[in-house]
Amino acid sequence: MKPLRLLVVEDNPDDEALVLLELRRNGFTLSAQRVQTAEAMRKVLAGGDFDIILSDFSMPHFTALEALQVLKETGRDIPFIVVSGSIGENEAVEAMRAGARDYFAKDRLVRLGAAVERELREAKARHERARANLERELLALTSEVLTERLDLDERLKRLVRIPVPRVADWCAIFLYERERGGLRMVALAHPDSVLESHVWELDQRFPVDPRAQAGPSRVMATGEPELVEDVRARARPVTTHPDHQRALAPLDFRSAVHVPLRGRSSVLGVLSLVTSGHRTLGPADQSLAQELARRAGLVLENARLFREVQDAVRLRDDFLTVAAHELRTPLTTLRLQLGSLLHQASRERLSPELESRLHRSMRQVRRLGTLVEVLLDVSRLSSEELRLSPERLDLAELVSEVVGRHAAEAEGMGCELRVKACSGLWGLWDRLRVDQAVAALVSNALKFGPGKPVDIEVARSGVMGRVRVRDRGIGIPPDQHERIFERFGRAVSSRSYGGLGLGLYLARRSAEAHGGRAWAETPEGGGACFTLELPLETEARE
Amino acid sequence: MSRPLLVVDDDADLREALEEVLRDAGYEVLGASNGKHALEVLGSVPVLPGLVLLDMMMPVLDGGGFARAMRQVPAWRDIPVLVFSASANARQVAEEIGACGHLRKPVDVDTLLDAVGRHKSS
Repeated sequence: MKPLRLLVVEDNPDDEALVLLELRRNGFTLSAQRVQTAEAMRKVLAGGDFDIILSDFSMPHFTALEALQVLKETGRDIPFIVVSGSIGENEAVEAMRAGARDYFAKDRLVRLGAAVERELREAKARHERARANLERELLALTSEVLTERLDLDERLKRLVRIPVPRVADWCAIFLYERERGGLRMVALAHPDSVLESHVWELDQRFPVDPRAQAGPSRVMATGEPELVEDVRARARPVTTHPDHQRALAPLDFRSAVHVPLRGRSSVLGVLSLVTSGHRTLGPADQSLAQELARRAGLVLENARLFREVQDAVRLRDDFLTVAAHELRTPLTTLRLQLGSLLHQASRERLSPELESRLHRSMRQVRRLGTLVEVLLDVSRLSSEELRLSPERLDLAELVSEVVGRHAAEAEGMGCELRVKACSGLWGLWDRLRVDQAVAALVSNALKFGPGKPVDIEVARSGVMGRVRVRDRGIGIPPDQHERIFERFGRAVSSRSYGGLGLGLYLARRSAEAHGGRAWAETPEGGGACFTLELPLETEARE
Repeated sequence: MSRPLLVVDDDADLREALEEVLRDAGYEVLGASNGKHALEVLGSVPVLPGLVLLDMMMPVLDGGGFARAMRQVPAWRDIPVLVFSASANARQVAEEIGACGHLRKPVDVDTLLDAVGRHKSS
């Protein structure tokens, strides 16, 4: 028993009976329809699938050549055999040229059964080849779309266009949203944009029911794909809402496959393919949908991880911002109190011992203040660009201010700070940032070169103003010259030398935000040399 | 008669430290714990302050709200305001509310006295 869906293009019922008889004799179980006009043929083809078409050559209102044209318009590959009462050589050649696979005279049908079997075999092979090519092409397109530099929504919108209309009439992606406790349609494609908008509107009026026992919600709940070859025969409807059912009816859905979009540990959403009219979806379409979903799932998972990382970073930065803000108020009080006590101590000449203790306390409070500022900067800089408030500054003056602030520390470390500064180097710079950068270089030099002099040079270098800080300390291996400018980068163990590992990072970020640069070198004679270059204002360059 | 200074800050310790430093430097100082309180002080004193040292982030009425309300009253409109804020963009905030300058917390005694001396109207 071989089932055969047959379309007979024939005006004479007797001739049709003859053909059917011959095929039944060859063991075919037939479901046949007969048409004899172009319109009827179009209508029948649109309403169903056929394995083969047998056509008379010439009829009162139709011909085999016209029937071939109708078939061609549908774009479908159905074997077409001409069966004619009187077919001459020329007509046969003409029909074959137009796409017919074979021809028979009505009085010599003995070989028809064998010819039909051969055509079915060849058509199946052709379909499989075409399908494999189609899948390769669609998956290549999918990879292309998913890796484009677009936001996720846009990529999903392009993705759903890929299988439409060649595999299905509709393709949609639903993503799970925790807030609504269910799926939301985020992308939809149909060849007809009017129908597409209509379904978007329906989605607004009737959001996906999370409790539905079939369709996307069911797939979301079970994580298992669902293939419904004929939705009209489905036991459980996708929606129980009568208005929704009424609104969906004119769309004439026929077949549907819903597959899960999987992340690493959970189902993130559902990809659906749906057909209307005669076209049905089968296991091959489910496999294709699963492959599309697998690729989209990877991209969704990456996007989810990226969002999580961003959220974590934002949370951390928010915390650090508030923390630093809270720390500034007591630091201000401390500084003012200590400052006013120091004034009083020196004015009233209380005791040198007391004054020195107050100075030490003040240095530590300042140091605490610097650490708070650095932490705040780093929390901000990880997520945004450095913002500058430029003002006109003299580089030598600014450097001398920073050096003055480090005088006591240098004395404590046994370092002589030797400054050689060229004045008149003006630029439009952010005072706070440049101060911070120079201070980082100076305090680094003191920390790593105790007991030895530190040379600080302020000079012009072409269109740039240059600050060079050279110590005679432990030095930096050349392969670490870049690393030490990274966030938390350090060339020495944090157990031997303290510090947050942020000063040089901030110095370089500041220099670069000004259009300058910062780098390290190993000078002859050992130690380390740090250079900060900042662009001079135009007049100062002359 | 010299005009006093008005210090507006919700942190009591900081406000008192500021008041002490400023008094030591010879200024007469008034204090207020938020913007609303500061408006009440302005309404009750015989001699208007020559400078308002203004924190921005405060409960009840913040620095921005105080500055706007103060500008509505013709007699108070021209009192100079020096923004004294922990915010990283104190300068921008100062420009927005039409302040005469800004100080970013934390600050040293000398910097504070220098700024107050420059901006206070006698």
